[in-house]
Amino acid sequence: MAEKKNFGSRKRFYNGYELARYRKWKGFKDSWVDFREWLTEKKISGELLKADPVRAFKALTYYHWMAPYLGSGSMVDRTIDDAHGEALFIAHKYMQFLLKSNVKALVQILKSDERFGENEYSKKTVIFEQDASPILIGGFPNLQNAVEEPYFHILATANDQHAGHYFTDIIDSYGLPSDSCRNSSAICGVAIDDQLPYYGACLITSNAPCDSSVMNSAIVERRLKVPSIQGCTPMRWKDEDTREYAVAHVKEVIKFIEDCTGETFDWDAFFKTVRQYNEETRIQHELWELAKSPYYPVPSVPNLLYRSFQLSFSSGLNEECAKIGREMLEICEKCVKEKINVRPKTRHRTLVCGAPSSYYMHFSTWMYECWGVNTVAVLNNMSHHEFISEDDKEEALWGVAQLWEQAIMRRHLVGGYENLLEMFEEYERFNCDMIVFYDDITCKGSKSMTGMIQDIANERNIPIVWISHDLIDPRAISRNEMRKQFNDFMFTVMNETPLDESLLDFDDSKGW
Amino acid sequence: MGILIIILKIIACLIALAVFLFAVIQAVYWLNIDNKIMFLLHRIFNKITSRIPRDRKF
Repeated sequence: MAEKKNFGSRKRFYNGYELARYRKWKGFKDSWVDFREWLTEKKISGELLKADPVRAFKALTYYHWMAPYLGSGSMVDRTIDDAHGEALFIAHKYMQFLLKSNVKALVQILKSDERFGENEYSKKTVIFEQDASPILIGGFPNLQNAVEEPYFHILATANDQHAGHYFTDIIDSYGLPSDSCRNSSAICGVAIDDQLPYYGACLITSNAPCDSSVMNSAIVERRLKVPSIQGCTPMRWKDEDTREYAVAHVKEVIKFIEDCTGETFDWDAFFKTVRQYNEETRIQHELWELAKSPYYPVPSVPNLLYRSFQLSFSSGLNEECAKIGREMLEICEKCVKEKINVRPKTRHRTLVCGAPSSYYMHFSTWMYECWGVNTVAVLNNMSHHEFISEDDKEEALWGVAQLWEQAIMRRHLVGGYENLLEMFEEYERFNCDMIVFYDDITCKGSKSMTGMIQDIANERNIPIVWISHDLIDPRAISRNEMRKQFNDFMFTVMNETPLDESLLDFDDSKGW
Repeated sequence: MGILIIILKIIACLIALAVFLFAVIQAVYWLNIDNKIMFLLHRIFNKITSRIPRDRKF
């Protein structure tokens, strides 16, 4: 097959790659902002090498999941490509916060890794598996948390689309069917290939988001030679009868951490973290209110990543999370109040549902640039958005249990059909005129409900497009195939013409 | 007078150096050289890590 040649706005990229020959000119003001913030981002990335250059080099030459982080600069470029004016500033600030937090987490993993020598940090680290919130660590001020799995495959794949399938191939070669959840498969591949760092005082495994996670926990536990406990909370989280069991289980986890580390749970410190978490949640509610407006400036991808980070990684533990949220809220309020339109290409407002593909995190950026489809809300971001009690111990533990029960991908994918159907309420709330559903072909949770959702959408005359993807394996469904599915929908159902024809069909399958 | 000229020369040199550095950084930025270098390094490290013999255990 003849290689596709880039043209138009894709001309600045190498054929077949998501690597640009030169950067995009966005006008004097925006280009200056881009340049200035780029310098800051380089400084933040450099911290990874500066913190412990020897361990960083050892990790780069040992762990296969480490090298993709060299592509973080390119990832920032991809996610802010569609942003201008205030939106550009917001996107940069969100991405810088995420870069800083991820660098901090990676430095923590490297410093604690006993594979590269004994150290004082390892025994002070509690590992949380999958996307269970580490909020409980707020009650142990002398300990640090590590939410490790996402760093080894999901975030690595977000930086380099080919990072994750290296690990899924390993578990497939041991006989696991390749249509099982790629998220869990990949972490099993990491464990089998002996690429988990050796660290931690104990491990809290979880059943979030689904039973697939429980399966992969067994393989991870075999590799990590640390005591572990299953942080399993009820799937039927709306059922009040499960409350007693859920709270008892959170208490068990606290006792387990106390036994493993010799630390005592400090309620005052915990409530301080809870207050911080509630502040983050309050800011998010205010942002959602503003998102109803046509002048809401926040680009989709940085917003999605920030909120995911807030739920699964920070949960009140990272003080900067609320700080950056407040700053961004002020800018958003200004844009809405003064009716500053920084998303002028918008022709459609969409709600995005389902698990987005890790290898094409910037799909929303492309939707906006090519078709003028502005992602104003992401259903997965609305996972847990209730406030946790700031003074009642039992109520607060119930809040923690609920936070685990409504983790990302759990509430709206495997948490029962009622929760998934919230999409139609959110569709109305955010004044959308279409829905994009990321259809992860390896997620049985969402797969089983596609017919029902399509029927409801048809009854209500809501345009809904299913974008099939393979979560972390672009060889099964490439980025271009994802784009083609969307193009077909826009041509045939929405009767639209593209804003930029050069973005309709291009090859970016080879790298990053 | 001589000292003044020397100081002026030093200042001129520093300004020239600052302009030169700024031009270099701008070139790195606009030609996307940072990402190109990272892309090559990423390939090299990927090759190294995929060839390491591992203790595979199921």
